[in-house]
Amino acid sequence: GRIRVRGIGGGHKRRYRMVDFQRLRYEEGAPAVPFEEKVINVRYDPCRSADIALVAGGNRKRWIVATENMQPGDILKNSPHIGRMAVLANEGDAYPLGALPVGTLICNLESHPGKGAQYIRAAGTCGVLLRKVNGTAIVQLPSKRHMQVLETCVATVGRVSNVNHNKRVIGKAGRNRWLGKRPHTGLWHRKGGWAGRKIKPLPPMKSYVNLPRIAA
Amino acid sequence: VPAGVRQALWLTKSKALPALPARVLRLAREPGNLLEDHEERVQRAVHRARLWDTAGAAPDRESYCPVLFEDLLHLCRIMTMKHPSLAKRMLARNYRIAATWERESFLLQVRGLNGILLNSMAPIPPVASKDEVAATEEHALETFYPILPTIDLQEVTVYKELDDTGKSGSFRAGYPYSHPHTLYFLESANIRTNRFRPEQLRAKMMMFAFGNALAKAKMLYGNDPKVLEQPIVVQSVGTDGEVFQFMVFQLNTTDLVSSDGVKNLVWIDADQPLYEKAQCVPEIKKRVVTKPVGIYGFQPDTFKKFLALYLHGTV
Repeated sequence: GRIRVRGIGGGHKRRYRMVDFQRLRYEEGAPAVPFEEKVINVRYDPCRSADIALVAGGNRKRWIVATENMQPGDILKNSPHIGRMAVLANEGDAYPLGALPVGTLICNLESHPGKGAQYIRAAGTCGVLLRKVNGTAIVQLPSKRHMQVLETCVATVGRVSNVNHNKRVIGKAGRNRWLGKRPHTGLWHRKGGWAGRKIKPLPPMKSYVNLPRIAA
Repeated sequence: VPAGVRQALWLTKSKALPALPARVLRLAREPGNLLEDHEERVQRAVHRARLWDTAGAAPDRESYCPVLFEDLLHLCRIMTMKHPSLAKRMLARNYRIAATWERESFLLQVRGLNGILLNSMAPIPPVASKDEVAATEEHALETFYPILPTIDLQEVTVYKELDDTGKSGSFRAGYPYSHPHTLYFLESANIRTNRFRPEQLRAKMMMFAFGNALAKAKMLYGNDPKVLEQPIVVQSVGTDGEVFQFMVFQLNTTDLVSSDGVKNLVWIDADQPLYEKAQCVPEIKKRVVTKPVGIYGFQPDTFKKFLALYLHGTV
């Protein structure tokens, strides 16, 4: 085995909390209707930069990624319906992109319906719903890249919690070691073409929608 | 999450009252029910359980909790000198209870080993008057929307809806001590995670007291849901060797499907310490003994309540 990425190793032991990224997961035996859940506890998760929230609804409890102003005792709404009018969404609710008004800040976005959130999960990040075009929606990711997904993909409304994560000061080398980051080499290298500020146009929009190919 | 007592109140359709009923407290305070040197005897019992174990430095909870409980029960039984009808009681251990009831489309049941049960020949007379029972009709049960009240309960497939006071299982028909009087729960596991926390212990006490009362009610009055004219009272004491929880449960109705109507009543006296700390090894700071060996923070009232619950129903 060879080291592919240098500087990883050590670090404090972490217990993994099984976070549910699919907000619209129904209990077994429950109908596929909009349901509500109550936030019980918001706590630190050592495995990610965001905080996680324990929510309970019906007969089950689960962990989800918490949004910015989530407090214990809030009620969150999860709904799969896309109506003709856009929903006035509260922070922390989960709706399909087709039901949200254009310009809302969203997080925990999925690329395919039912896949589970894989985008916009880091602390303090949020994407913007730019426009809705026939059955698809276009979202701007935090890297300013545009992404086109089906409008039935579910996302949560609001910014991810722990907003001041990038403002923290590590303070000492030891704290980096606790996070599992080993030191860089001290050998001086001349910087090549990879270094320095780059100004280039935005990459093209990434589409996760399989549009029917126009036969030539 | 509506842990513990709040969830148990919904499941048993009960209303909680924060202190023990006045009748029991009066029994606790009356000096005629106590021996003159009872306080010294209780202290001796605590010393014997916590300090005088010669095997190791300090006895662990699995040994001192049952020893303390036996001693306290013996002190209660001494009162049979003054009240001879107390002799009509019998203890039962390792006894299985089974009770089933429906609660608003959920079929619930209590099964399992009970703890220690004190049976008596005569039932405890109802504690709350008819007016208080009728007044519970206005009380609305607390719901926990959007959480269902059956959260965290184990889902089991059963093929027989059992209602068994242990009578058909362990006791024969015609057993003279047929009324459940008090249940005792000892949380004596050594490791803290295997013990129930106080809130969970109170919920466990309530569910088992309810199960016993319901099984007895179904045996006496049949399986149809109805309001009982003679409410059934079952008491419950839970302890982990230091802190005691007292509970009196009165079953007023077996009509548990709807959430309206007459409710059952529970009187809960929570977290009564018998003593604060038992110092087995003297605490020494800088070669000077700061805390000598002994029991600190002894509360005689806790034993008085224990005795009152024992005497209740016969005195």
